[in-house]
Amino acid sequence: MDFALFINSFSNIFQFNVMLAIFIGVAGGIAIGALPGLTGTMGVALLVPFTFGRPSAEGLGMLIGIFSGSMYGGSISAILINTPGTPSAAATSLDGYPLSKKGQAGRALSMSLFASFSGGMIGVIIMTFMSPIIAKAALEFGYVEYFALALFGLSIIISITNESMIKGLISGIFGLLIATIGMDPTSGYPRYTFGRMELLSGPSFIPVLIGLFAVAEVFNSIENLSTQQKLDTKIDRYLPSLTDIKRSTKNIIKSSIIGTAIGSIPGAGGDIAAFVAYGEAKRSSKHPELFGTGEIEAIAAPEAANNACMGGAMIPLLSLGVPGDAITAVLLGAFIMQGLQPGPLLYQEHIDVVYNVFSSMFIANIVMLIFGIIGIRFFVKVITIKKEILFPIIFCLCIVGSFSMRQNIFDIWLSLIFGVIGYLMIRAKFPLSPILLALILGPMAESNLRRSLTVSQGDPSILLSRPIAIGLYIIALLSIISSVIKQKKIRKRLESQSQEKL
Amino acid sequence: MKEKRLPDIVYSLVFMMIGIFSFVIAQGFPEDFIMKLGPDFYPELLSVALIILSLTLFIRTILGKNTSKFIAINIRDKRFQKVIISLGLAILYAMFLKRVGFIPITILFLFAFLLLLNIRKPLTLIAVPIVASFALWFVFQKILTVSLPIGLLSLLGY
Repeated sequence: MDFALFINSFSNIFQFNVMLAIFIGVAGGIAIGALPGLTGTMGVALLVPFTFGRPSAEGLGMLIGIFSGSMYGGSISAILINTPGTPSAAATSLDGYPLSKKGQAGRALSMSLFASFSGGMIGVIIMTFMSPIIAKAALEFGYVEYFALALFGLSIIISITNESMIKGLISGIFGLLIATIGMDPTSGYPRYTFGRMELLSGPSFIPVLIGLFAVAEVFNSIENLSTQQKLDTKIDRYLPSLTDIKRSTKNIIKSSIIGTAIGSIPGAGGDIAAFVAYGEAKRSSKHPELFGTGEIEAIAAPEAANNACMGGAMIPLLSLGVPGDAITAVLLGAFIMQGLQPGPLLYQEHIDVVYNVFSSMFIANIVMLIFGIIGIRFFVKVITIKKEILFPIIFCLCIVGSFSMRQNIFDIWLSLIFGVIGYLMIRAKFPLSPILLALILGPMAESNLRRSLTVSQGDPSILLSRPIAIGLYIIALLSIISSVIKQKKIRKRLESQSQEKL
Repeated sequence: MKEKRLPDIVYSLVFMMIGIFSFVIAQGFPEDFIMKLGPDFYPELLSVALIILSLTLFIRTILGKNTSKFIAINIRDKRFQKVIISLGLAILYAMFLKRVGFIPITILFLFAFLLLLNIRKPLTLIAVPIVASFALWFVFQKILTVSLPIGLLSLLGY
């Protein structure tokens, strides 16, 4: 990495508008993360429209802020009401809620904030050093490697599918088909547009995204409205005590490295990173039996890991252009909307943007720390907002957000259609994230497949002609096999549980 | 048991239809004699994959190997009806947004939606729609410079 560029990028970020964007992003992210039922993906989907037409440093700064904020925000509701605000905070509730029942909510929250901050920072530092190296290696990539990379990215579809692999695959192929709507990139022939001008450039990303991840989620939540949980916890402290920090330092560093490593594997997100770090902290603890009763290390470990995961996830995103999960897929979409295609070429052509991302992430973590200390009383209140009031407003935001990019009613219809599709798919347990990944990776897969096959005049063996491509196929295959095994295990456990109940 | 299976049978059939439909349409795409692989190649590949996958899901479900559990859609369920009504409200909103204008239609939409979700406090019913509509208008129109539909307000010479 280039230190002069790195220092220089801070001067791009320390500008009023950019800082304001990061502040709003972090605050919005924490609030969305803290609200159970609103995931980070939904938050980013809802807030992406706010970045339209802004310079890239502002738009990306805001999105990065949301991303960092939501990772920490999830722990607030996990600790206070035992409902993780985001899946990544599920491990935090194991010990966070017991602590808060003991009247030590402030201790748990401040440790969660401190660990999130440290984890986020360590993740960013590793990313800043690692991603340029990977991008450099990827410069040698040709069509075949890019096709392999897209295929590898698509294999994630299977590993992020929890329940039924076949349903995940159906979602993914369905998404790939949707991605073919519009003008064929090679020949310019309009496919599946049915004469609609609006569809020539493909279904716009933002309305589809808002439909699948926000509208569908609102429909689903309307159906499952539950009574609000009461909150009577007092926050007694805002900073962790020195003894707590001392006790947790080793775990925080270890978990941050685990988190970054897991984050950099496409398909493994913050929730997995948090549980692995929790498991490791428990294994290496002198008192593993106390885990689950309110151990402070048990909060530090998963929180450090899930925030570090973000830095890890940015490595393949920036250097290869492959998103690791739904939320990074949204981030990738936002890059593309800014006219920036992540991948090795980004490091050649827009290295300033890359360094702006690095420094925004640094700043976002610091802002998160500050907001967490002074704003915790406000963010705690967010949990008590009535869902009945929130959902109508979110629905409005969905509609205005879809409209605003091209200022066109057709896009509202698009987001409603995808909202209904998403809702029906959620009901039948078809995962939605594969559609998003497919929308991003589909065009990349198609154009490189066709270019490769054109070069070889239709001979498919060209796809196996490059060693890096073969390596990527093997990794893809391994990730599929490991997730199949994992799913079998989960199924067995579920079966044994249901038998126990009988 | 039969009720549980039904949704997956329906869904696999729907996806199969989508696959067949997109395959048939792709047949109509022009051939590319220079590049060999025309615009139809890739969608056809995907359609076939979708058909095979949904057929697999269909057969697995029929054979009872599919273990997913469902909450079947029940039209008489009040909560499901709310989802349908909220979709209806959104459709009306999209239909009349241009004609009525952003602020008035958003106020009406929010008011109806809050009523639907059993909010009965008069103050909330009035204040939330008004404040939220103006806040959204301010952020999008003034800060993000999106021109939201003016609609009826244009009659007032706005």
